[in-house]
Amino acid sequence: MPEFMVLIHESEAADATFAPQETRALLERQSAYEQKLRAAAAYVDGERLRPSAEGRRVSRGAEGPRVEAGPFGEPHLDAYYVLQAGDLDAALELVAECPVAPGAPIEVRPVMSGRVEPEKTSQKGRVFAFAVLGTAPDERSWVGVMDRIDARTQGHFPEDQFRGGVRLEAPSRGRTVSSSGGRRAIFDGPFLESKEVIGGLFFMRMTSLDEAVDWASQSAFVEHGALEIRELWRS
Amino acid sequence: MAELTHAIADIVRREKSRVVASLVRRLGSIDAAEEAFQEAVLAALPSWRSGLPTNPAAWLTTAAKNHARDAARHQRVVDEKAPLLVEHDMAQAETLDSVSDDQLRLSFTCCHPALTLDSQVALTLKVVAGLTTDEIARAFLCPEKTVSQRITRAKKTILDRQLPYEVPERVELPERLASVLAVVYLVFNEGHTTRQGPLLRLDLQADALRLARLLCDLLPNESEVFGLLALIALSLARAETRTDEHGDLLLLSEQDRSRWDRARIKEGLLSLQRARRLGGGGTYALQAEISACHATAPSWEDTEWSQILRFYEQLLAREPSPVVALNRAVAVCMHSGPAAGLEALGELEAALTSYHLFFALRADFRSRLGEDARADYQRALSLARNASERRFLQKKIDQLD
Repeated sequence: MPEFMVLIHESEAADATFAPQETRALLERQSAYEQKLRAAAAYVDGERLRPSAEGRRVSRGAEGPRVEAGPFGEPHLDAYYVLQAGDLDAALELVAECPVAPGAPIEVRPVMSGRVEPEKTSQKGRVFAFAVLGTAPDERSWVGVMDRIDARTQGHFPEDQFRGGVRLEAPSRGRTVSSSGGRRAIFDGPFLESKEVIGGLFFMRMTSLDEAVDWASQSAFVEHGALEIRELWRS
Repeated sequence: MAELTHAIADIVRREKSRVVASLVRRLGSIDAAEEAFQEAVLAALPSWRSGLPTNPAAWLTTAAKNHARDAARHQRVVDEKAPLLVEHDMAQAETLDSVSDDQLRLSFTCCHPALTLDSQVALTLKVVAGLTTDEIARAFLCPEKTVSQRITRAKKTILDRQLPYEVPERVELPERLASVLAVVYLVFNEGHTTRQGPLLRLDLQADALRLARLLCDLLPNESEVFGLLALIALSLARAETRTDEHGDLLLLSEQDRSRWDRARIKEGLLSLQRARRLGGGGTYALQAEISACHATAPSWEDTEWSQILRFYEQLLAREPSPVVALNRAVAVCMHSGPAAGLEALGELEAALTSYHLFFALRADFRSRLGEDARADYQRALSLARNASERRFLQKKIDQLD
């Protein structure tokens, strides 16, 4: 069955203004939603990411790799799921009930290739998510960027540390679900013009953030795009 | 330069346990491992002046290993019978699992029940949390000499009794883990409770948070480890509001809830969620549940007291304690009124006869009921442990007039 990656974005600035009881209620609803997904066997994997303020972004600078510390632009990736569904519409139906903070957008993107290892946070040690980001003026060139990255990085992962990863289909083949005032609207997209678009997500066990940054800086990813490194949050 | 020294101190604190843990296994003693690490730090100062390496921990590990190898070679030249340091062992690359396992072994050794609790705490802070002896002494308000004696004694006990450098077997794990968690909790509590001197020592609390996070990474499927992290994060979220501008303690009902640290609360709630998923119901998880009810309540009055009562009952069933029963009485009072609260205090006097909070609480319940509370407040005042508590109680007595 086809797999879809659900990328839940959140605004940490807005998050900080929520009353703690709202946060608690949201977390409980999210936990219940996940139980339901698992029960429905649609669930493949899902993790929450630690705050972006603790993350790093590695890209190409004028003189070698450029490393920036979070927080990054708003809103940004807060959690993800990998779901199995017959088609995009079925995936969107599963996502319809996904509880998110008011105004937080959800991206639903078909998985092109790869697979993720489930239950990553049940293993000891720290696991970091690496989001592959690409910027391009149009979809064709964006796909070109991702193709180049894909070709250059095949088999470049240290096997004992790699915990799986997926490449996503082009942005136009996905959808963005936005919610405001209790109503949800579905758009094509995400749009390339406005920002970097995520082309894939992979995971590695690392002893520290420094090690993750070190690895990213020397990888072929940053020759063509950028990597955002975020630690998985055991929750 | 000061900035660099500060940055290095920061890295040392963060990376020490990882580097030392692997060296202990290779060198066979905490002392030798710490010495090699210290040499590496000294070597780092001049080399890093021109810029920090991208991966300082790897740098320190290599430098420490080199030092240890040189020292061993030298030792062999001097004394042919000196124990042979297996060089290929030194050259062997570490795997992710070996690093985690070493850190876990080190934590269990430092918190071995054969050591006194004081020694466990001092050794854990020094070796696992990476604090200096001086920092530990300042945090615990005791002379540096005392701390270094405790550490020396602990290391000697480890050598003399040949305490194993290993993660306990499955059967032994719950009990041994309880002793590791107790040390982290004690570190946290020391930074949290009032003794003498500064009321709250946030540094120590931050160290406890760091240790709890480390344990969560090393034992990701143990409910109580997440319960402890949740408890620490949720309490730490309120730390800044626990005292007023004079440094006096504020009750939970008086604190400015808008200033509670929401990111910390979220971390606490997420850890608690995991603790529950892994079974929950342990003493740290239950205390965290109570703390979560408080942290997410819009006000003192508007708190889920019935939930809190339920958690106190579970806690008492697991671990009967007069202090927990005392806290439960507060929840009873809020849920069912001061008469019920007074009744809940009933039998506790004998056990808490020298605890000022028992009398302060009974005084509070009595005055709510319109009864005479003066004697109880006086008794509490005479038992109070510091000036801040005495000021608080004196104010209450003055208000009675």
